Amino acid sequence: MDEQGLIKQAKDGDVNAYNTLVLHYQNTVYNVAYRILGDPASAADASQDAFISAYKALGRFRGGSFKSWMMRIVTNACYDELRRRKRRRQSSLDEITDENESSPLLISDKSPQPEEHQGRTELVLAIESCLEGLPDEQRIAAILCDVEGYDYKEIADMMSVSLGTVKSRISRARAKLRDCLQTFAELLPAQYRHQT
Amino acid sequence: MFGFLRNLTKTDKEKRQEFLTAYLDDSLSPKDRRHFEQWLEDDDALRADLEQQRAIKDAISQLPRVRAPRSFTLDPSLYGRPSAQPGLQLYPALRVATVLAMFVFIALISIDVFVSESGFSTSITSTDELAQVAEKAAEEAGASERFGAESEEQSARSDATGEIAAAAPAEEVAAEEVVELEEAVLESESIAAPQQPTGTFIAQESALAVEEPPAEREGEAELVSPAEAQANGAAEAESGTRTAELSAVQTLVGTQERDEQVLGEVRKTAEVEALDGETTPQPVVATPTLQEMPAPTPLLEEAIAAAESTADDLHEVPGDVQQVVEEETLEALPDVDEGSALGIGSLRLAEIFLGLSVLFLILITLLLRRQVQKGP
Repeated sequence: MDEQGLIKQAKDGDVNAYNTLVLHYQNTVYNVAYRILGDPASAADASQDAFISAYKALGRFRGGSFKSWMMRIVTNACYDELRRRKRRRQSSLDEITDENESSPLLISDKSPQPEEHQGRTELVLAIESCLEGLPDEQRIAAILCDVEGYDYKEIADMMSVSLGTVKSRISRARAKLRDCLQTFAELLPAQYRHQT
Repeated sequence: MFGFLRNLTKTDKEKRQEFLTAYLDDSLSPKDRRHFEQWLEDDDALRADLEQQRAIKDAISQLPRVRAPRSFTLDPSLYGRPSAQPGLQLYPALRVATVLAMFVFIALISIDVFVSESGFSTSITSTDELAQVAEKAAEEAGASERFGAESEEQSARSDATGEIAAAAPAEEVAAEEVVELEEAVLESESIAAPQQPTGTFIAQESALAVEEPPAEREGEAELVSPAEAQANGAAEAESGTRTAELSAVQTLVGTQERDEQVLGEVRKTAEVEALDGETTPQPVVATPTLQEMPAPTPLLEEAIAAAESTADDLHEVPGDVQQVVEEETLEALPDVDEGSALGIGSLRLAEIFLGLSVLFLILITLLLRRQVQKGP
């Protein structure tokens, strides 16, 4: 895929060229939105908003990594959704857990054995639950680093913060995840348990 | 920007955790990495923490990828060409322009400071220079005084002949000497004039020097400390032009007063000489006033008329001299004042204009930067 060529065509108003880019990145974008928001419907809305916003703002794209640029846009879209949620006061851990049970995450899980599937599901649920309990900034930093595999510099660009802030957020997120996972100690393998 | 402040408030535990996380994500500098690995070798608990964190990181990274529930492609019939957003396209150029404007502004400020300092050093003369100028003015003034005294003596000597016919030439000599006196004053003024903005001080000194003995002038000049001289120069720099003119006028007034004194002496001598024809000769010092005198004789009237015409001549000369002095002062002052005032004024205007422009550019650049960084 000639990404730069497609971007140039999209800048000239070729929506089909842009749609090629959308199809290429939509799973990545949706995955990040889903991990940040923890809700398939909200994640889908945020992803759609991000792609529309990106097309409208394509004139601002100054080269570089289109994927990183899209990540920044979808992260901002997720921030907007999280702010809306806080205003509505609809966010609760129970709701998120219920939604997780019917999430595409479980559908796409390919554990071969039922027992292993059960164990992995519990671990995944525990991690997701702990991720949801993190402050938004720390969760986003941890997801971009550990789930999506971006380095600190890219995350700093995406979140429009300094490198030190990213380090600090990821460090605190990991420390909190470690503490949180202790509450699921009986579900977790030995290496996840806190050694005192 | 203030990361170092955040580091100051971190506990050792937080710093340790941050090191551990950065090591796990391969984000430590080579030096820090070596340091941390050394630390790991010595600390079992740290190694255990590291393994636990690594397991959590692996678990998170192995979270299953989710697929998009639907396609997010756009409908070509609903979306046209994306807007160009020229404002944001200008951001790189604006950033460069802001930096350049800041450099120019700093350069302009530096030039201003340099010009101010150099101007200050030339306008504020040292105490020695001030003292020298004051001494010179005092000497000139002393010479003028001597001229005056000599003219009086000459008048007295000419009076001693007792001939009325000799009164007119004596008056002419006195008039010539007064003109010389005026020239001496002019010279002392010309010494004072180029020393703006301290010209006020020097002009005043010159004016005083005409009235006071040289010894006193020297003493006064020596009493001026460097700080006082600088303070005088700085404080009077603004009103230098006007005060210098006033001082010049005062000098002329003083000169005119002295002229009138000389004239008075001449007139008295003439009157006494006229009286000598009828009465016994009397010393010049003890000359009575005109009111006390007896009714003027024709001879006396002639003498008075001659003295008055001389006085008119003498009054005309200072008028010319005053005009010349004023013209010279006005010519001399703008060279220093107008030039520097125009230069400094235009420099200040440029600084203000450029400063405001830089502020405006910084503001616009920061706003655009925020938008660019934030994204859509």
